[in-house]
This record gives sequence, structure tokens and C-alpha cells, in this order.
Amino acid sequence: MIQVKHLRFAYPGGVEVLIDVSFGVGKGESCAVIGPSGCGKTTLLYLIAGLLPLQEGNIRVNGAAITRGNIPMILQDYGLFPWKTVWENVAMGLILKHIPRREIEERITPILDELGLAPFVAFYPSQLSGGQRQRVAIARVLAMNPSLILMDEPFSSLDAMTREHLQRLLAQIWIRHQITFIIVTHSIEEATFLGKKIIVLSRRPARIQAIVDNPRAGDPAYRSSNAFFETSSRLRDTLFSISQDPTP
Amino acid sequence: MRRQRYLTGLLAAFILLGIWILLSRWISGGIIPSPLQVARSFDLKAFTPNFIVSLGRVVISLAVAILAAVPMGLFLGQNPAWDKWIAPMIFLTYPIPKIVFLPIFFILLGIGNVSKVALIALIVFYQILVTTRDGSRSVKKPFIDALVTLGGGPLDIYRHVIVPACLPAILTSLRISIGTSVAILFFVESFATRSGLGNLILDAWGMADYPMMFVGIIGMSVLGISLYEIVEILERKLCKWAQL
Repeated sequence: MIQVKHLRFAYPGGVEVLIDVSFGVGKGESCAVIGPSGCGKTTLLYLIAGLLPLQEGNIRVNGAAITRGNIPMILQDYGLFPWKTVWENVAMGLILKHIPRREIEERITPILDELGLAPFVAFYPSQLSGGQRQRVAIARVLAMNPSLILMDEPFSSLDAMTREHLQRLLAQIWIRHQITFIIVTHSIEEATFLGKKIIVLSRRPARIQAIVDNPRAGDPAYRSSNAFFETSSRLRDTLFSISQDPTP
Repeated sequence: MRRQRYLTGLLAAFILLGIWILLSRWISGGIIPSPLQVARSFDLKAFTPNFIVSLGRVVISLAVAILAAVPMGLFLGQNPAWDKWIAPMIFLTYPIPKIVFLPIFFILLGIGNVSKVALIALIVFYQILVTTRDGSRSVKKPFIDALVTLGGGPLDIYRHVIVPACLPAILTSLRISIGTSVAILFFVESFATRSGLGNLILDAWGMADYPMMFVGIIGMSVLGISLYEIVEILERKLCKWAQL
């Protein structure tokens, strides 16, 4: 599905962010990217989304080079447009493709129902709770009928209960719609619950420190199992060793 | 909410009317006529053409200023490379009292409506440009990124992100510009014209016809308040999200 090869990226001024990052994510697979704060997780996601220009290395989705605007992304805080209603926000990607309104209606109504947003279509984002807002963001990318979704710490500003609820909802969507997704997170538990493949990045400039296979990701029963705690502890140890490592 | 707004507006109008009546009694010489005297000297036939001329001058000036300043402000706010070169020119010329150019405008553009409209438009252009540019500059980049990941191109970014995000700031600058433009209107209508409310006021003043002078003053006020209210209505319709 997606192949990232020998990615290297530096910001103007020569600040190196990513060095030789390579990994692959299969079709319908979920991938969580975790690493210390400021290590370059979001930069990696922006490169995959085509929001930043590639400098070295390449990214291929289904064998083709990535193009800007082809991979929908859920952002942490500012993803929704405050001046558009829930309906307009969810329909935005389809409006941009000049799809007729009736067809948009047909496509987004089941998604709004599935995510419990039907009663809020005329609301503005500021009238919704944090959890409802992120459900709108999920609905918006689902409306695009994507094969790949990128998520940049989508639940970081939510309270623990809402976060867990949305993680479960996301796992259900992932299983039901068979969408590949890459989620960047700083939460070990979130990475363990959502990532079938967990990529651990080192401190900046980020290299891949470890790739952890996590076959039970997305299973609601997994969260309370010993395997979940073991995987979480392994990740915690890896991240701790990164933070203790004096070499950049 | 709206009802309360109308009630407070009505109350304010009554208070102002009360102050006017008191002043008309206290100040001797008929300089401040009573509302009744003003109502008696109101001549619809004389007033209407002057009101329409003044309204036309202000509306056209504002339209010209908006058409020039809004796209330029939106563009400069999003393009720092251009803004770097143009901003110093704006800030060097912004504090210059442009009203002093009135004689030059009269010489270059004639003494008709064009010079008057051009001067009002030039003055409010700066107010709208600076506010719009600042509004456009402060649009958060993640909004643009979000639209791009949904397949939005450069024009979509302006249509769906920059313009709606800046609209409250644009309408605020427009509201301020209405006050400014009516004030300049009075000034430009004091010279070389036989029409407009400014001319009506000055003519009546020259003839010591104070009730008629007040007809003109009230006309100017109605003009300003009406335009202000139109912008308020536009804001309520177009920027519901900003009022929640």
C-alpha cells in the first residue's frame, strides 16, 4: 500500500529532522508512529501527505508517487473550519471535487448516522464538544472514501474517556471499512491499541529505532489483556532508552 | 437578544432626542432648533436628491475601496515575499492625511463626482487594506493544510479558508470606514458642488437657516446609521459562526 524509502528531511537552515526513514504499511493495515516530542513525527506525516516537499528518498502509495491533496488527514486542533457547519465540513472534500449536492447528500448521510452526527449537521464546530469535533473530522475523511488516512495526534486534546471511546470507534471503522491508516501519537497506550505496526522514532534527527508488530491492535478485548500491557511496557522501555541516550 | 438590541437602540434614540430638546431650550439664538422646527422645515423634494447624491458618492467610494483593498490585503497577508516590499510603502503613506490632496484631486480629476469619490475611496482603502492584510496574515496554517489534504487548490484556499476567516475583520474595517467616509463626504461636499447633504448643510448655514441645516445633519446621520446597520445585518448573515 505505502512504501517509504530512505527519507531524509531538513528544515531551512540545515536543521535535520529525519534521517534514512524507511518502512512499509500494507493494505488495510494500521500503523502508529511514536517517538519523543519534537522528533519529527508530524514532519513525516506532512511528507506523506505531500504538504512538505520531498528532499531525499521517496514515498509511493500503491506504486505511484504521492501527490498533494490525495491523502486526507485528520489534524490535532485546527482541522475543522469554524466558519462551516458540520454538514459543510464533512462535505468539504466532495464539494472541492465538484460532486453534485444530491450525490454528496447520499454519500455523507450514512457516515453522519454511523458517527452519531446526524442531529448536529447545522451546528458550527464551536457548538460541539471536543469528542464530537473529532468525530466530524473522522466523518470528513471517510466521506472521501479513502484507501489511506493520516492522523496527527487526533485525540491528544481530549479527556481520557472521550479519547478511549474515539479510539474504539476508529478501530471499528478501520475493521469495517478496511482503510489503511497511519496515526502519529505521543500516547503509548494509543499506539498499542491502534497500531498493528508500531514505528518508534529516535530523538531528532529521527531515525527508526524499532518497528513493533502488534497483531491484536484494534481488538477491544486486547486493551485489558496482559499482551497489551507487555507491548506497552516494551514501548515504554524503548522510549525511555531513547530519552536516556546522550547521542542525538 | 435582537429584541433587547432594538429596545436599547430605541431608548438611546429617546435619550438623544431629550438632550436635543434641552439644548434647543438652553442655547439661545435659534442655533439649535427644536426637533419640531426641524420637522416643519423638512422638504422631501429638496432633501431626497441631495440624500441620493451623497449616498451614491459614499456607496461607490466604499465599493471601489473594498474592490481594491480586500483582494490586495488577502493576497499580501498570504504572500510575505510581496508584503515585504509593499508593506513599507503602505506604512509610510498611511499616516499622511490624504484629505490635503483634495486640491490635487480637483485639478487632476475635475470638480465633479470622480474626484470626490476618489478621495473618499483612497482614505478608506488604507483602513480596509491594513485590517484585511492583518486578518489574512493571521489565518492559521493548519486550516490551509486541512483544505489541501482534501484536494483544495490555491483558489479553493482563498474561497473556503482565507476569505471566510477574514470576513469578520473585513466587515469591522468596513464599519469603521463608514464613519470615516461620511465625515470625508461632508468635507468634499463643501467645495465646488451644488448637490449633496454637505452642500445642503453649508448652504443653510450661510443663510442662517438652522432648521434646514439640521435637516442636512440628520440626513448625514441617517446615511451613516443606515449603512452601518446594513453591515451589521451582513455580519449577522455571513459570520454567524463568529457570534456564537
